[in-house]
Amino acid sequence: MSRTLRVVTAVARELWLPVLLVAAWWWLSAGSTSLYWPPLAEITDRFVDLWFFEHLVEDALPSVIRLVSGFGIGFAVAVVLGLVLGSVPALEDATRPLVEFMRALPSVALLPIMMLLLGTDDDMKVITIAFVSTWPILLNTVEGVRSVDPVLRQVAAGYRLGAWHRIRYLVVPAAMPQIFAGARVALSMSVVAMVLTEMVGSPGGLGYFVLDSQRTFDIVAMWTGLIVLGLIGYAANKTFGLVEARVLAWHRGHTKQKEDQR
Amino acid sequence: MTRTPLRTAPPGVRRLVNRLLALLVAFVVWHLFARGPGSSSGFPTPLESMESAVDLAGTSVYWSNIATSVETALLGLGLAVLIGLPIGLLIGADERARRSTQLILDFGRTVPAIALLPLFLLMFGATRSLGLVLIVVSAVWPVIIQASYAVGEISPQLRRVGQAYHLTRWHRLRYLIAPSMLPFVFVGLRIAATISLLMAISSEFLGGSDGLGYLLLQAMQINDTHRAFVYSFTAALLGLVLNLVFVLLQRRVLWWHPSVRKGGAS
Amino acid sequence: MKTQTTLSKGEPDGGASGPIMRVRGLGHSYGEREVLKGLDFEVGRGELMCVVGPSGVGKTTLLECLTGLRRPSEGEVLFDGERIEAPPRGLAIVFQDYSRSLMPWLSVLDNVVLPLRSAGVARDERERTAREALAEVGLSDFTGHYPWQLSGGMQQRVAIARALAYRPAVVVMDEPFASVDAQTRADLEDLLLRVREHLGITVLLVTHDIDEAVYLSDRVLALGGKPAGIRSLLTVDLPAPREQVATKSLPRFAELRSQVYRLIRDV
Repeated sequence: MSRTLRVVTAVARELWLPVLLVAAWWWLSAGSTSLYWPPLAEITDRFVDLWFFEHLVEDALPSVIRLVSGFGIGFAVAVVLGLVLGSVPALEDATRPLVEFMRALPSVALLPIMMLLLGTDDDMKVITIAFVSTWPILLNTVEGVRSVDPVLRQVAAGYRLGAWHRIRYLVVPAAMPQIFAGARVALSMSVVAMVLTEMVGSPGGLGYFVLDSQRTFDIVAMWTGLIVLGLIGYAANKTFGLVEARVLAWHRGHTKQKEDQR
Repeated sequence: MTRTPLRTAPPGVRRLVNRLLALLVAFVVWHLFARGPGSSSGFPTPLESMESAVDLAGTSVYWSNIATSVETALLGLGLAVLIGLPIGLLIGADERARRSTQLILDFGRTVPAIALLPLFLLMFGATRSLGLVLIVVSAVWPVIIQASYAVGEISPQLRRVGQAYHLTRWHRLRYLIAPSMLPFVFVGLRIAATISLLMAISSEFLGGSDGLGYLLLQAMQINDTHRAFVYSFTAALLGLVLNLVFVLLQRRVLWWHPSVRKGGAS
Repeated sequence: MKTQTTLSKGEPDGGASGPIMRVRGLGHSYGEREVLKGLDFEVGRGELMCVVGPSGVGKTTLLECLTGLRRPSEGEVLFDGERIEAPPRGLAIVFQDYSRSLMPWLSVLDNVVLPLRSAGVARDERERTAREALAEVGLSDFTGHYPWQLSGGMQQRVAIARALAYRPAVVVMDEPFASVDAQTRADLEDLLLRVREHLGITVLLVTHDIDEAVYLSDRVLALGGKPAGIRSLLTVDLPAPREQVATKSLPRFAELRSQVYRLIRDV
């Protein structure tokens, strides 16, 4: 009984402000005749119409697929490259200016080059997302590989661990916290790249939906698109957080113990 | 071969040579690509790009548009910090405030603010305000979040030291509180700066009337790939310079912090 | 080579005779700085030898050279008659810093299993061996825990179990009990003596603690000087089994202790 009560208060503490804000939006926008701020009630009505399920399947799903595949490709490429560069310091040092340059490239400045090479279809969108997510993860992976504790390296050498076992049980797990930190940055950049590529690329997807609604002055539809985008961005981040919590459970325990010892 | 003198050279020289070699390799690959598979789409070679870069560097249009983009980015960043920092500090100072805003902050930082561009375009048209609003809406989150972390990072032990030695309020702020928080605030600033540049150029590209993003769009529309390349590179260089400025600032301000002392700040 | 499937007492390689480790003319320098010079000694099979010397004398360098983690600039180390180039299979190392030498992302059992996995031991067998080793150090109930859930002393016992499960002929330990509290330290010392008695392994232990060296050893190798050389190699003729209170109150213990103390201090 008291436990449920505690859970309820905990949830209430986190939710009261968001709920209040949405309520305020509802109340303030009710009866609004402003072009830009249509009543929230109207938006929610249209939301149900539009997104269950026609545009969910036509626009939201393709967007998510592009995001997941682009981010996935970027992640895989970055980790493999990062393991190589992290293990060969001379190569890493030589290529550092190039990598820094790639990371500094704002995704929007990439669009002309990508569109020139790959057109405006899915390829361009997915590869742009992959490209954007690669560099922050790559740099962090290198950092992570370098930060492997020298004592553990000696353990690996002393117990004659083979190359594969060293990578699988030592280097990759040790670099994982850093890899995830990079991936979190990369994820939000991927979402931006997804929206950008869809705005300039071939029709379809959430970015296109929002921009197209605006062009046709269907502001209510545009608002529903924004809400969907917000939900997807939030869901992506939460999913990522869950995966991170699972993979890095050891890390939290480990650092906590270290802090306690201090 | 010629490896022997290189091996005996001081490490700094060797490093430079290695980096130049890597750049050279990249240029050769680029050149071969532009000549081969890329030639049909008008992909410029490195030399051609350099030529157009030299041409453009002689025009005032190029420089004034860069200045516009940089100004927008910096102005936006300044606004984001002015708004975000106090909010972040307030939130961080109070556990209840932290909990109540958790969801909003989580939401704010992941929602792609770029998607709001169409709305802002309607409201503000192709003006600088468009870019500024977009920057503030997207860059304010990392500032708020990092500032709120920063408050939690002031160690209770240092607080007690301050009390035990009866430091004045100003001295506590100057010598204990500010230095403890600065590393975290800095992280937020760096993220916000990167976002600001991206959003400045994006807003020009998607709905502006001047700036680097606008030049980029124009070049693309008239299919001037050579210029488009130069603009893309310029954008990346701006990003690099911005990053460099932050690294240098960090070294000056946070020279005592482990991340700087190790020489690993990048 | 070895066919036993359990951690059993016995000669590691069919009862070959002669010292298990032989050090000849060993010396090492870091650039201009000479750390070790002209070390010659042997470690007998089944022996427990402590290398003792003041902090900074080059004990860790010596250990790294002995285990093949570092190539010495002079001389050589023979393990079972073979020159050591890299850590040999028959040698296990226990490092000083337990909190850094265990992998925090692996459970206790997996930490112990990992070297066996890499050595190509079959799944069932490596798990059984690891469990036996953990039982040997009294950690049977903690196989599923993670290192950071255990106390410092328990973590170091995991590291010892990892070494035992590897079924080495020699265990080399670098200040293994330096970072735990006094009581835990005494417990771990006695654990080491018991395990060594039970399994008949050779132990080479590096320490800066003279009491510990005298208490544990069959022979003590005292290191001193700059560059460090062997001050003396003295036999500890204290009766077995050793016991924390009884042994340490023997007059002979005090004699040996002051002898070693003078050896490493006086130059």
